[in-house]
Amino acid sequence: MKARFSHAKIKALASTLPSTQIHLDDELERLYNNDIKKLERIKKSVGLDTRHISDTHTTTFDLCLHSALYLFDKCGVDKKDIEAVIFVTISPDFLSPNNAHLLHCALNLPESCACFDISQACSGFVYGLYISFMMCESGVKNILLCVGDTVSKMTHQNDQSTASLIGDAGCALLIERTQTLYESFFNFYANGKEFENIIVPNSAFRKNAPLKRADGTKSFLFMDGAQMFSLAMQTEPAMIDELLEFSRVKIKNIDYVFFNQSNAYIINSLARHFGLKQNQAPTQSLAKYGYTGSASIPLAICEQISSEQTQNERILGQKNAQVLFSAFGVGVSLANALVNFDQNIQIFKPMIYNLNDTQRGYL
Amino acid sequence: MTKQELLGHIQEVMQTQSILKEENLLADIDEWDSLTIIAMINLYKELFGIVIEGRIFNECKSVKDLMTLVEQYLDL
Repeated sequence: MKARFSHAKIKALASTLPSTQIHLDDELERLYNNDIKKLERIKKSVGLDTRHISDTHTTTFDLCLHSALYLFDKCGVDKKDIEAVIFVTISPDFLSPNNAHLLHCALNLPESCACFDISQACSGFVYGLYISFMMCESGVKNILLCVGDTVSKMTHQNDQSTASLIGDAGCALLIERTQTLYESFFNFYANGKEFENIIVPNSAFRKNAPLKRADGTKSFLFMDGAQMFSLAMQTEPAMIDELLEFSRVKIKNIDYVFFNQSNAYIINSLARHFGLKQNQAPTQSLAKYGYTGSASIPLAICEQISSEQTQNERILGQKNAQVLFSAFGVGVSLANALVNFDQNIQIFKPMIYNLNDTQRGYL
Repeated sequence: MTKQELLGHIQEVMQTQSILKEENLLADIDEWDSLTIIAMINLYKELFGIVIEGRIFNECKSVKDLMTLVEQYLDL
């Protein structure tokens, strides 16, 4: 499925990480049984180093609320003008009510708001953006889009293939209807037949699923990383080609391609496939924060702002930029988007969660 | 590409100390894990332009099985 919009843009973006930071080097004994060679292979090929995970009392809602409060504080947007709250997560506070209504309460937003969650993992950010842009196209002026996950809470901390990879984060974006032409392009791919390759068994009401590989007695994240890698390599190049053809934009004119930060091997391999320069397809977010699911791409954008400020080579927020998102994962799903960042976009460096900043305990 | 050249590439991907032979069983190679499978998928994509699924690599028992997956691209 393909879609094109002409009157929506990202106005602002902020990201929040939980305060607990874990270094992979400190897990040599616990995760890798002192196998330093294996640890070094993971650091080098997957691109992992540190990650942030949430404590028992910090949820996706808290991280996204922290980001949203920062946006309202810094961007001069009146809460009264927010017409919709969309919350993308697979790790909500409750199965019901949804996180969007919790956020509506915590931020004291107008009663005229539409509030709903989207249950989508790896490709969730692009799905959330698609729905937001579609709503702007239909006349909605201001949307608060929150995207976050605390998948570490569903991850067995002794599982080598997932524990070292999964980090938590919560992002908030202000999406705005534009008067002038702002073109954006999306395309989507789904392959439900491969659903078992990343799954959290027993995580809801199905207790008797005859899963082939996941341990049916546990409710922790299971991932077949090698199968997912091959599916990504089979699918993403053709889907990105389709989006480029649809948008009539050449890859050389794209300033940044933000792939899901799930594996440096995939990102570098795709970057080579498209002849991208190293700084066109950032990976530094993966090394610092691990793979943060739906928050992965917006967090990578915030991290890129930090990097540009350090290197004094400003693109984002300084001039118009063509930015491509490619998010592959659970489902199996793939969602791509090509959007324009104008020079007024406000992107903030990743923040560390502080309960005091939200000026409240729960809600 | 000759079989010997392919074996050299696989040796490089495996990063094993011992010299690889076709008859080696993958179960006996410490480095044979999902990370190495990812590197093998990448190797075959770079060498032959094909993407072989992870589950097919998981079914391989020996180094020879790995080579058989791409035998159509090898010199006789």
